[in-house]
Formats: sequence, C-alpha cells, structure tokens
Amino acid sequence: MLTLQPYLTLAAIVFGIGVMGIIINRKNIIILLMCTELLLLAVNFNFIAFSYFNQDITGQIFVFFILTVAAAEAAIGLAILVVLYRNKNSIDVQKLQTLRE
Amino acid sequence: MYELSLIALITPLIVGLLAGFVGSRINKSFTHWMTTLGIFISFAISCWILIEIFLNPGLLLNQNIYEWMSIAGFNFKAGILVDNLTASMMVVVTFISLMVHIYSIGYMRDDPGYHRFFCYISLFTFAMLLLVISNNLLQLFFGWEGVGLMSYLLIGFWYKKESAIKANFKAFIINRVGDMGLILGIAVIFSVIGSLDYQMIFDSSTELVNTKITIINDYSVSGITLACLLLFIGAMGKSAQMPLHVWLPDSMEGPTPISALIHAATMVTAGVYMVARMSPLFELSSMALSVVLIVGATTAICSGLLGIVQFDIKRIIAYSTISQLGYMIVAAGVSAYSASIFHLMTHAFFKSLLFLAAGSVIIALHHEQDIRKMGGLRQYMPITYIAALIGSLSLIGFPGFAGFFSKDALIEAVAHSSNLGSEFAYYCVLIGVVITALYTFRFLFVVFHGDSRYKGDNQIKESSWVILIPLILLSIPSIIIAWPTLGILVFGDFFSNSIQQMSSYELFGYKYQSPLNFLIHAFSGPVIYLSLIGIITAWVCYIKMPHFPEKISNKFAIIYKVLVNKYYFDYFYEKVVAKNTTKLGLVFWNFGDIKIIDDFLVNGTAIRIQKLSTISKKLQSGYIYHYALMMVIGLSLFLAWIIIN
Amino acid sequence: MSFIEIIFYVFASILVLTSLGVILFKNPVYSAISLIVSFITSAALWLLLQAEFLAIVLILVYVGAVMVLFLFVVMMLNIDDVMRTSKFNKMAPFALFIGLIVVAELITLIWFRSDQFSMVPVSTGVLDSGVSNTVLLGTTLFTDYLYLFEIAGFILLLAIIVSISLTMRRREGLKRQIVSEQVNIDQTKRMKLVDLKNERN
Repeated sequence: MLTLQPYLTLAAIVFGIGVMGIIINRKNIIILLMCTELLLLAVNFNFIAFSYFNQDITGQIFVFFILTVAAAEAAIGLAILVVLYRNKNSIDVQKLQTLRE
Repeated sequence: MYELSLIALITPLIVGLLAGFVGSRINKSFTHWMTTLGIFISFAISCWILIEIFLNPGLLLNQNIYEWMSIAGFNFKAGILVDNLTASMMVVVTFISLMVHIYSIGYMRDDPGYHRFFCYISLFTFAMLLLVISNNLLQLFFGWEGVGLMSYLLIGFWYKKESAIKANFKAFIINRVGDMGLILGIAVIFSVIGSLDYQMIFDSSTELVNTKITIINDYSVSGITLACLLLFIGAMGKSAQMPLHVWLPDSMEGPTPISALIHAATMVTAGVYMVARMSPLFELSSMALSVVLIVGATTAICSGLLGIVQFDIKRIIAYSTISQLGYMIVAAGVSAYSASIFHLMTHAFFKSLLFLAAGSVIIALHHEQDIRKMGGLRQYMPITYIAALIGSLSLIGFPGFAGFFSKDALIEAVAHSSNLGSEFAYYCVLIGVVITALYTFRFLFVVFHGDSRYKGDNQIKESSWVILIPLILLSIPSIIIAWPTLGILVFGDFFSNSIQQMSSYELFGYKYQSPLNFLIHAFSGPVIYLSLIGIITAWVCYIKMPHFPEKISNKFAIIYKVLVNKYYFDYFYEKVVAKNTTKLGLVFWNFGDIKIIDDFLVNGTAIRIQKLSTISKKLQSGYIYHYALMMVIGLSLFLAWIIIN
Repeated sequence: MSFIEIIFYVFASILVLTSLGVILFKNPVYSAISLIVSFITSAALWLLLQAEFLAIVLILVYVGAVMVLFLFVVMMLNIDDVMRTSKFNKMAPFALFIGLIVVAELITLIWFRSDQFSMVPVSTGVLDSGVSNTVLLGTTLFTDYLYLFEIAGFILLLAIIVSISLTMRRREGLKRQIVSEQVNIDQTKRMKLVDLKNERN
C-alpha cells in the first residue's frame, strides 16, 4: 500500500507547475485560466488523498463543491475573456496594462 | 524677621514688574513713585533687620522657604540666610539702589525708555538681594545670573547705539566665562559633599580637603583648592579682575545711574561677597588664597595705571572701580575678609557718589563725556563739585574719611600677612595708593578746576534737586560711616558668625582701641604720605604745568601706547579669541548645521524617500503576472517560516 | 513493487508531463488537450483512492463541459498572431526559481513534518464500510451539508446569469418584441380620431 506522502508530493508538483505557468505566461489569457484549473486540480488531489487516509467523507464533499465552483468560475472567466476580446481585439496579457502606475 | 526679610526681597520684584508691564500705560510719575517706594520699603526693612541684629547679637535666621526640586535623593531648597553679613550687604544694596532710583528720576527724564529703566533697576535690586540673602549655592547662582542678566539689559539700554550693543555682549560673554568657573566650582563641591547648602558645606569642608581630584593622569589637586580656584574664577568674571576685567570699562555705555548702581556698588561686589561668604572654604586652601592675592594685587595696580591715561570721565572712574575691587580681593587673599567687606561697603558709598557726580556733570554739559572738553566747572556747579571732592577724598584715603579707614585697615592686613605673594601684594597696593591719588585728583583738577574748555552753546548750570539730593545723601556716609562701624566690623567679631577669619590681632598686627587711635596710628605708616605724593603730582601736572603730562607721554611713548591700548587685552580678545571662536562657529554652522542636518538629514530624508518611492513605484506595473509573482514570493516566504518553526 | 504502486507511478508521471505541456505548448489548442489528458489521468488516480463518484464526475463535468467550453472559446477567438509572436520571457528563470522554491518547501513540509497525520490508511473507516461511494456521498451531502448544496446551486445560477449578461449583444436595427411595452399600452397611443376635411367643395 502506498503511504500518503507520494500523493501529497504529486499534488505539490502539479500546484507548482500551475503557479509557474501563471507567472511565465505572457502569451494569452486562456493559458492563465487553464493554469488556474491545474491549481484547483492539485488541491482536489490533496483533499481526496486525505479523505482516503483519514477515512472521512468530508474531503470528498469538499471536492464536490470545489468542482462546482471551479466550473462556474471557468464559465464566467471565459465570458469575461470574450468581452475583453471584443474590446481590445487581442488576448495578449502584455497589453493589459491599464492599471499601471 | 522671616516674613520681613521675604517682603524686603520680593518688593523690588513686584514693583519692578509692575513698572515694566503697567507703568508705560499710566504715567511716569506712577512708575518712579512706585519703584522708589518699593525700594524704600526694602531699605527700611533692611535697616530694621540690621538694628535688630545690633541689639541682639547672635541673631541669625537660616530658614528654608520651600523645596525646589528633589532628584535622586538630593534636595534643592530655596532658603533665606539672614546674618550679620547679609544684613550689612542688604542695607548697602538697598540704600544705593534707593539713591539711584531718586537720581534716575532726574537723569532719565527725557528718555523714551523711562519705564523700562525703572523696571530693570528694580529687578536688578531683587536679583542682588536674592544673591546676598540665599542660604545655598544654587540660589546664589540664580541671583548671580540674575544680576548678570539685568546688567546686560541695562548696559545695552540704549539699544539703538551700536557701541552699547557690543558692550553688553562683551559684558555678558566675559561674565559667562567667569560663570563657567563658578559652575564647575559648584559642581566640585556638590560632587564631593552632596549638598549645596552653606551650612552643610561648611560642616563637611574637611571632606573636601581630604578628597583628591585627578585632573590629568598623574596630576591631582586637593578638592578644596580646585573648588576654591574655580569659585574664584567666577568672582574674577563678576568682579572684573584681570584678565576678565575688560567688560567693565565698556559697560560705561550704559546710563550713568546704572554705572553707579551696578558697576560700582553692587554687582561687581558680588564676587567679593561670594569669596567672603565662602571664607571657611578659602581658609583651608592656602594656594587658593595666594592666587586670589596675586590676582587682586595685579589688578589693583595695572588698572590704576590705566586710569591715568583715560579721557572719558566715566572710564576713569571705571578703572578706579576695577582697581578698588583689586584691593578688596587682596584683602580677601590675606584672609582679612572683614576688611574686605568693610572696604566694599565704603567703596559702594563713595564710588557711587563719584559716578552720580560725574552723571550730574554729563547732564549739565548735555551728554559731553570727554574731560578735555570740560574745565572750571567749580564755579558753575558748586554742589556737584563738593560732592565729587568728598568722594575723591574718601577714595584716596584722606584721613578721617570713610575710605581712609577701610583702605588703611586693608593695607595693614596685607603688611602683616605671611601668605605666599603677600610681599608682592604689599608693594602693589602701596604703589596703587599713589596711582589712585594721581588719577583721582587728575579727574578733579581737569574737570572742575582751571579754565573752562566747554564749547557748547548752552549755559552750564547746576542740576536739579532730584539729582543733587542723592549726591548729598551719599556724601554723608562717605565721610562718617567708618567712625562708628570700624571697630565692630573690622576689628571686632561682628562678622564672626558669617566669616571665618583669625583674630584681629593676628590679622592686622594691631591692637584696636578706637577709630581716633587708629587714625593716629596710621600716620606712622606710609599710606598717608604716599597719597599726598599722588595729590601733589596731580597738582603739578594738571594745574601748575599743564604741558608736563604731554611731555612725559612723548618721552615714554611706548609705555604710553601700551597703556592707551589697555595692555592689548582687548586686542588679544578680539583678534585671537573672538575671531577664532567665530571661525569655529562658522564651521559648525556651515558644515554641521547646513551640510549635515539640513542637507543630509532633513532634506536628505525627503530625497531618499522620493527615490525609494520611485523605485517601489515600479512594483505597480499593471501586469498580472508581476502581481502573481509577488504573491508566490510571499507564499514561499511564509512556507519557509513554517518550515523553520 | 505492487501493482498499485506501478499504476500510481505511471499515471503520476503522465499527469506531471501533461501539466507541463499545458504551460509549455505554444498552440493553445494543444495546451487545452494536455489539460484534458491530465484530468483523465487524475481521475484514474482518484479511482485508486476509492473516490469513484468524483472521478467519474471529474471526467463528465470538468472534461466534458468545462474543457469543451475552453476549446470553444479558443477556437472562437482569432489568436493566430499570438502564437507567432513569442519573445523570450526575461522573467522566466527567476519565476522558475521561485516556483521551484515553493515546490521544494512544500515537499520538505510533507516529508519532514509529517508527524501530524497518519501515513497509512486508518484501519477501518467509513469508506470501507461496504456502502458504495455514491451512496455515502449522497447521504452526507443531503443531510449534513444540505445548506451548502443549495448555495452551490445558486452559484451555478449566478454563473449562468453572469455569462449571459456579459456577452449578450444587442444588434442595431433589429425589430423585436418588447412584451412589457405591448402589455402596458394605452388606448390613446394606438388609435387617434382625426377629422378630415371633405375633399368635395
């Protein structure tokens, strides 16, 4: 049987990849949203692992809700993206600078 | 007696403040009546206290009024000490102050700063009374500084005159140099004994003797010598001993009444008073006494010489004051404190008389002060002439006058002393007698005798009665005050509970019987004859052969030049001390203040904040990934912290 | 090496590789497809952890709905020019470094501070009780967490409203029916009696 640690390590690695993706991404916003999905996936992993190892169903319930919210958030994020594209005609992250000092 | 002495102390303060703040709104009459009345009350109370002390010998009041401050176990109290010495000083101070108040009514009549003047002299009287009436060194210092301040304000009374401003700076700064010594002396006493109260200091003075204070690595002095020397430096500053004497001639820039009050009778005697008051301490240190002696003797003779070559009427009398102060200090140096205080009292009377007479002359000639432009005033101003004559005779020690007794007693004590330096001092004071007579009668002959050289267009007439009455009132003590008081004050033990000194026979080598006896005894000493030599010389030089002085000054041109330049003291102070200090101050200002504090600290802080904010402005780039990076960096720091803990 | 372990490592490596692919591919369509593959492999891993319901839901909902939506949007937007211009990212090494630090710290925490949680499954728990995962999930969801369940529903409703209201465009010049105005009509606005003069003299 596997111990808990490989699962958590795996989740940590995926989380790290997601974070790096957000930072080094300069091409387009869709990648940004996909990296957000990756982060959420890593967190879900953690919950499921703990739920299995503590024999507590609460972890899976939480994942349930996280999935719900993630879906809603993806939808809204894409809607915003569409409107952004309509206004700026591009989805380059580097052009989104209007809030600068 | 406690409440009365408090009233005597506070009344000048109250009337002074009233005159200053309210007097200008009411009128001149109110101001001068009120202040004169206040000082008169003080004078009456002082006389009453003195009479009480005469009637009840051994009466002494040493009481603390309130506790001023209590720090770390040290209690500083404000208190009153009224003993024989204090009472005598109080009478002298208030009497002279009263005379000056009355005199100023006439002298300052047309001056626009009338009310301010009366306010200042009343406040000065308060400060001087505070000085003599205190029972601890801290309060003495307070009064010391107070008289210094009022002296500054009064010397620069005509503040629009540039020479007056320079003079008052000079007075204050040189006083400050002396005060530094005083503060250090007080500090030494405080650090060794732990209290500033007179009684406690005198009781534990042996502690000071036994304490050795190290100055530099291997060189140490006894605590008492150090304390006495430092205290004496303070006295040098206040009582215009050499080399700190240069402020007093320049202080003649102030109005004549204050020259009489402050720089003849009261403030400059504060130093002598302090030395007398600290006599138990000075007695324990023979080295300090020798220093005192030598400084006083040098001052007496050197400033006397300067008095011969002055042409300003007030400056002659100023140098005379310095010389006489030297005499008083010499008396203190040979441990004859009672003679010193006695000479202080008589000097107060006749010197202020001389100053006021000079003021009368100045006013009558419409502010002319050069004696070369005066002459033959005897016929126009007879009363002033007689007053000046009485003052001069007293000053030179003409037999029978008050000054004679005090000066003679003093010289006897010097002759009989065995302190180190007393022989030098003896010769100095003897020569000083000749010189005193010389310059005094030069002053008298040139101003009042001979032909009138006044070129002004106004008629010279005698001054008003307001000016003459103080002259008359001061002439009386100048003549007679010594007769009743000589025996008790000088040779008796009147001051025995205030001053510590040896018995009079040891001190003076003369068994005292009566003033007349003393007078006759004095004819066997050299003093009277020396003063006679001086008078004759002056007569020869200035009446018989008026061109003689000029010939002498041409012959001894170098000496004359040195004397006219006042031994180059002023030159030295100005060119060396003041110039370098100013340079140092400029360095501090330019570099220290402007560069470091203004540019580096104040402006620099603003500039650095601005630069920092310019850099940190770049954090707000508007890019999401920069913000995400910041968040991640924060996250990593937080995780690191969790790991470490 | 038991069978489970082999399965785990295989799927784990695929997961890591595909998530790397999400961020490294230039073509966004390729990134989306990598993400889909990573979801599928993670579903497989969840099956290992006896979370069957959620594994399937992951595939159905996430992959089937959300990723499809992503692909719709990717293909809808004209992003050819973005693909071609890709300058070298100056921040990349530093960001990589920071990311590695974060991962390293997390791993340190997991491997060296693991005294607070059990490393092996608790012997018998509710997950092994014989009831299927779906039933278990359902019972706790509708009893203990009912309130949260309702709120989740509202969140989805919110998502719908937001999406529509953000992206709906009104085209100019279209004639539509505005029902509220039709109903609130007044007689005077529809009919007007006009008095015409007779044309005969």
